Amino acid sequence: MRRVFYLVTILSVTILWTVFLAFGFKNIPAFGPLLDPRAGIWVARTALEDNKIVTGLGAPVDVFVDKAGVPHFFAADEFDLYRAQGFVMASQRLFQMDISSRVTAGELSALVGQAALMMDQFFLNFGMRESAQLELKKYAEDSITLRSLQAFVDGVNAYVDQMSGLPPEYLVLNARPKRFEPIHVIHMAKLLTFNLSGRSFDLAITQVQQKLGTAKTLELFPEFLPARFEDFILSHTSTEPKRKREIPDRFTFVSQLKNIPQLPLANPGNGSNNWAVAGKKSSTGFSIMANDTHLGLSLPNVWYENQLSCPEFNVYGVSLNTIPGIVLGFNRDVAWGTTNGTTDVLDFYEIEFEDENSLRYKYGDSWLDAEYFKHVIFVKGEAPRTHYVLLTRWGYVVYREGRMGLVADWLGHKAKGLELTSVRRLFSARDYRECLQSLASWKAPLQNFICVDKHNISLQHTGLIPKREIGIGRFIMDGSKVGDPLGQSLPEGAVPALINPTEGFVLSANQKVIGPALPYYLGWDYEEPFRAREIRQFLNSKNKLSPEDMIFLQNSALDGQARVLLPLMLAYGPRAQDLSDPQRELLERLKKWNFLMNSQDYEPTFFKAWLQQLNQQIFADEYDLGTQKFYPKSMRLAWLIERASKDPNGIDADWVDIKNTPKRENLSDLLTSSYLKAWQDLTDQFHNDNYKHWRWGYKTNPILRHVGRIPGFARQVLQMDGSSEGVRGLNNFHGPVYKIVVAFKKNLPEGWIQLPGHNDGNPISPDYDRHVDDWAKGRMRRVEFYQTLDEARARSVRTYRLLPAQEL
Amino acid sequence: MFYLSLLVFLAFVWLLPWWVTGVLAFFMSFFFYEKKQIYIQIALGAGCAWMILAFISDAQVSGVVAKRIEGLLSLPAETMSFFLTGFVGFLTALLWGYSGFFLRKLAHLPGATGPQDTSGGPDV
Repeated sequence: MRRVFYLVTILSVTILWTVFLAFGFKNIPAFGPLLDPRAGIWVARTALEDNKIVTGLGAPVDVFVDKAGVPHFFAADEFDLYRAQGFVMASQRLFQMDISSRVTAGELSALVGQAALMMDQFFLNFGMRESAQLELKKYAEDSITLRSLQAFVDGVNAYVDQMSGLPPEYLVLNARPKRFEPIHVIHMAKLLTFNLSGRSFDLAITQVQQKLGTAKTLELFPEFLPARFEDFILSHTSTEPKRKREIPDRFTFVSQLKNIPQLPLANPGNGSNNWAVAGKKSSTGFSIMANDTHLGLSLPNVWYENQLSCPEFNVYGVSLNTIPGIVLGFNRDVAWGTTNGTTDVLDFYEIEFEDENSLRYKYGDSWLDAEYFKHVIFVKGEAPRTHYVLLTRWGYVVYREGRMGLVADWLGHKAKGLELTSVRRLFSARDYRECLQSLASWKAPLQNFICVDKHNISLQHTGLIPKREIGIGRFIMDGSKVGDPLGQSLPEGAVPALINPTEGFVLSANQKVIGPALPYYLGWDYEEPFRAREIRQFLNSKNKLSPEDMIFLQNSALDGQARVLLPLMLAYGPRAQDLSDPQRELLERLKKWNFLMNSQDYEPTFFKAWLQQLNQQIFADEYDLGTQKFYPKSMRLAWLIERASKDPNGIDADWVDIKNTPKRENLSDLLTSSYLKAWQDLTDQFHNDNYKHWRWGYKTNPILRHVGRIPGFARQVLQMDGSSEGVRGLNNFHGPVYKIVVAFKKNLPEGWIQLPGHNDGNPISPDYDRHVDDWAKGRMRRVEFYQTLDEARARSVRTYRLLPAQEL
Repeated sequence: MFYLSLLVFLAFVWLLPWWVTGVLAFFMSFFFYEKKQIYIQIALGAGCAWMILAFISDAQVSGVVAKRIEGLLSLPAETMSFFLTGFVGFLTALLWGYSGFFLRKLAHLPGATGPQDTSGGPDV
């Protein structure tokens, strides 16, 4: 009997071990399939093979891979091209495509479990699933684009059906890839739209308003500053009468919410640079365009570099993973690039429900019924959850607090554009006019598109620009008042395109689009003009600019914020007699510093720490939002320093005074105390009081996180120059994920490009983090833009042929 | 027996899913149970086979996989990736092998001439 018991024990342990290996436990992966020498991570390579059958192809498609690993697709038909692109992209990026298209669909938890549940709930509440469905229906208006989407996902599914093993991420998560449908492409497009136009500080600024009142809040967060602190993309030519930029009382409602939530909105660091130089100002005699997009640093990169060639067009550039075609790039005649428009397209309304569980909310003198949608959230390893989403006349309810609710009114739901149609039309544009015309159906996200041909340059704030009275959308608004949600567009031409300006260049860097002469409100929270001013200054500084100049400028580590603020900070403090010898020594070095954010230098580290402390000391006694470091813009601080120094009894000197002390502090007091506090903070952070150890490279070493945040698949870059406030636009998690310079010549354009990471997004591919070191060093690589099949055959290093099923 | 099991596991693990290690170890121990502590030799063969196959695959991609596993599982060194893989194969084969060995002994099937157990516990 004892032996039977013993056998049962042994078998139980054995079976438990096997189950543990097969399914894992909580966060421990399933080691069986993961470490399986036959099909596990050791062999989870997903290399493309020659003569693969891709169901649905009408004719063979040739894929030429150049020495940088970039695929060049040559097909006899546009749809075959997308089918092949889907197939090859899936072979290199399947997990990324899967996870990216789940975010706005609220389906992440199904893949990664409980950790993503709040994110799923947020995006469902935000109305993304309903919005994506409506957008897909809209593409019924353009059957060619709809067929393109279908062809692309057919290509993806053809790969999923015949792949021999799973990409390593699925082994780690013990999951299987899904089958793709056109809606997944739309969800990826929605994610991009959200990331680029889902930023808003309305909630934070309302918290400040609750503490300081409307007038004082607007004093700290003005819509415009004096012209010397601004830079605008466009000059205004509207004939409409100018309006006062004061906010009418009816828009200064003060929220009654006790706990205004911190929503996972888009990262405000998502920005970019683009500029173009006309032939008269270029060393080549023809236009040159430069574009670098600053997004979250990840491996694999959000962009996928490739060339698409068919009888209708031949285009080179970067695609967004999960989306067919090429979003940014160039063809033989035209180059285009974008920066984020950053115009305010997200408002919030406070509404009152009849009771805590009611669907009826107050609007004017009546109660309206909110529409509701029932969803099921699948959570890996747990029971499915039912989730309800509420839609009001303002938008979707994103937060409830007792009887009160917070509604997000986002233009991304309402813009009703055909952005993928615009992108397709760009491929065959022959001059800048056709390029701009292609963008007619682009509504969201608002982008500053540059369109360039050999002889012309142009820039257009592209998309649906909301028509709003001055004052609408600065704070959370009263949802019980009768009014119009976002959706109406500004009159055509109100924000004109800039075409061949006399300066010989156009530029944008997410700064304000247009000055206060425009009688509408576009937004206050644009990126500060530091990058724009540096670019403008550089382009103005030379009579003739070469492609090498463009590459130099893209890599500039000069910090515009330091250039503006440090001289002011040094002029009014700190007091030398309050500093120790080493502190005085560093002060002298700061005076001689050239504002370059070099990784080996310590001045950048100290300047940023000092500025942070200065902000903290000036504003923390006025309002404190806890962990949110929400301060006025740096240019506002520069203006504050200027005015406080000139008028010690003025309003800005009042901000400087620390309210909870009997003394009236002045600028010098705060610049001194913030200097000392910054010194102490850095001493603590570096465990060393020798300032020469406080190297910038230790503070800002960028991390290229894995797209699924899987540890071990990330890559850290040590010692990289640059900052968020410089043209290079770099911090720990954000940076230039795509840089290109296109120079038109007499015959063909020439291009230089760089992306961190490789097209092959498989973490166990030796190519996975290839190009990262070159990217960190600012080295660009020459684009191989093949014009013919023969040229592609001759210059590529590998060739694959994808075959239609009938070729069997 | 170690070398035989190494060869068998090299072939089968390369061709069939990971759990074949357990199945093979179970039946090998069941049928060759006369040899004392046979299941340990079989398990060692399985562990080595897993490690060798992992090493070959890793060499084909210049050592990238071992590096990724090291980061993924917070291992102290890249080489631990091979040892961990070998250990998974070894332990799986050991547990299933011992189960086969003990079952055969318990069943007293014809031909079974192994040592008689009087304690109820393992003979090892």
